[in-house]
Amino acid sequence: METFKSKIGLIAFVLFSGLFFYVSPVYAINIQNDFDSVSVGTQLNTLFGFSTTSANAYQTTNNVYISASSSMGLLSSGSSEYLYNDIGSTTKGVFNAFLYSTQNTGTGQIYITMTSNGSGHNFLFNFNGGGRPRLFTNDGNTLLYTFATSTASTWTNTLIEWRQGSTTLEVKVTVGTEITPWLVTLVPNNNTNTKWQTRFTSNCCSFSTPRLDNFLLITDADYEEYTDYRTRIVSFSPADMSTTSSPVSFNLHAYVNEDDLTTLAGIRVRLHNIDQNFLLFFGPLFGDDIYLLDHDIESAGDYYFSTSTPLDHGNYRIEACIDRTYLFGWIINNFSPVNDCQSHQFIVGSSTFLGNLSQNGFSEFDDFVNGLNATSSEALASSCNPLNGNFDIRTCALYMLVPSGDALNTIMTSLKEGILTRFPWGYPTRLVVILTGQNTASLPVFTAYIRTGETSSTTLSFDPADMLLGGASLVTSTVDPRSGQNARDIFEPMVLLMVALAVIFTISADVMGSHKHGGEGGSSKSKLS
Amino acid sequence: MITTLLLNIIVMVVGVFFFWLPQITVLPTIGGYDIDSALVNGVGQLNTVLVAFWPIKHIMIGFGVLLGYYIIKMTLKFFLGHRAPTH
Repeated sequence: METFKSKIGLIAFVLFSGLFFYVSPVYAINIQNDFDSVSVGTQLNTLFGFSTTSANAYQTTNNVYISASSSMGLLSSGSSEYLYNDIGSTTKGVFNAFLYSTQNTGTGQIYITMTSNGSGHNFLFNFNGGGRPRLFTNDGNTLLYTFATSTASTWTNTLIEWRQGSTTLEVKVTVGTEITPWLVTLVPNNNTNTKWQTRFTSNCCSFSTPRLDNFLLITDADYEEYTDYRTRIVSFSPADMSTTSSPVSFNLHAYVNEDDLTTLAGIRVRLHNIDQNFLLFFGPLFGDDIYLLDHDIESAGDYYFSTSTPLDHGNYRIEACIDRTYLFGWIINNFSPVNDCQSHQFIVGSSTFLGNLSQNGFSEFDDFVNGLNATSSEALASSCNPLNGNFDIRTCALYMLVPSGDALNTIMTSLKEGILTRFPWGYPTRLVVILTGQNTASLPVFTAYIRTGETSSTTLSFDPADMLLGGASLVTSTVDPRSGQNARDIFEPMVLLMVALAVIFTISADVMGSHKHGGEGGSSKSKLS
Repeated sequence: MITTLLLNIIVMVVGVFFFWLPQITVLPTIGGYDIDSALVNGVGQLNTVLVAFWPIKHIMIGFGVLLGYYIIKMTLKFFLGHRAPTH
């Protein structure tokens, strides 16, 4: 019984070590979008079949529709154009309408009046003088306009003025060469509003106001990107679960908030390979051997990186990280909420993931652990409050006890960099990194001198690389006419499966002691006296 | 959360004991012979050969995993002695 318990303990230790060592985060953002089928850049009048002479073109419930007077078109002084939204019911939902005007010249003002038949609307405005939109601020604070607040009696600010009431919000924009207004409207979950209306009015005869046909729609994804000012990894490629071919293009887009770059605090961005060709729990000791990018970001805003490199056929995992650093990159803060790590798994070649046990098993665990993303953590935290309706002891226990994937990843990174690479065990770590590296080197050329006469000789050169790689390319270029796969694509998953099974069975047999007959590990026969 | 905090504390405490040690990025050069470059070059040439003999590469990787298991087992036996859960 004791032996059985200790064996179970060893198995549990090995499995837990494996789960502990290698995880990677996957983020998912789920946003309701009523314009999923609309192409970015679609002009409103084209989308709704609206022409400059017709009026009252509208869509069904939960969509934007436009109603205009007969003077639709160029907005002349004193005239107005309207943009309506009719949800149609009081059921909860989020609706976004993004309007982007290309008109940024002229003089005068545009009045944008938002009215609602309920009290639950919130509006978020983005105005910027070109480039990335900035949230409209008053006295340095981001404003989220709510109709429920009281009326301000006078206009505030200069170029962009506003005043709000219980059912009306008015924005006066003085248009010049430096302002390109973006108007973003959000209708949050509430039970009171069913309609809102936006009216655009010009007050100056010489002012060429933004025409409604200059307003374009953008997707929720673009909106999330444009209004998300957190320091983070915005996107990187190859995409997760994608299949690509060699050479592989790696692209990274990160964004750094200016508040996160100070004299002593900085941001470091990393893009590197975590080799996926090993079993799950040995990943970090053998991987991280190809760093495509390891750079301290010097200025705030968008950061872009791209490169291309040839890779062998196989499964790979690329990880992009942003780390908070101090003292010009000497210290990395593993506890910083700024830290952001994401990874993508992709295939080079035309194989599938079939036969790779590490990734099949990893995917299920990955879904579980990485369900704990930043957005869900707040919901999970509320499940620990016994006073609200979301209390759930199981969810609360998960939140309290199960670490998220990105946290484990950060811990392993600090373990490797802070301990495993230190003297003297840094030498075996470096040895392991070298032995598991994917780099290739040219083979030496052998030259043989052959005497052809008393005073003459000739040479014969043998280039192993030419012979080996030439033969390899011949084999890889022979493909099955139906599937387009070569011999390696077809047989590699089977070889991986057999090797993985052999290793697992060998380890299991050693743990259980089933291969031993008597002596120390097996049962011993006692002699009959 | 709790587990994350505990793990962070453990890593931090262990790191405090070793932060003063130098960080090793390359293997040493002994007697003028650069072991690191030699190994990198050798493994690189092996990888070149294994482009043609790719099944051997996977077998070697599997053997490396098995070797790692035996190293963990030996380490447990060394530190735990008779208390190690191995036979």
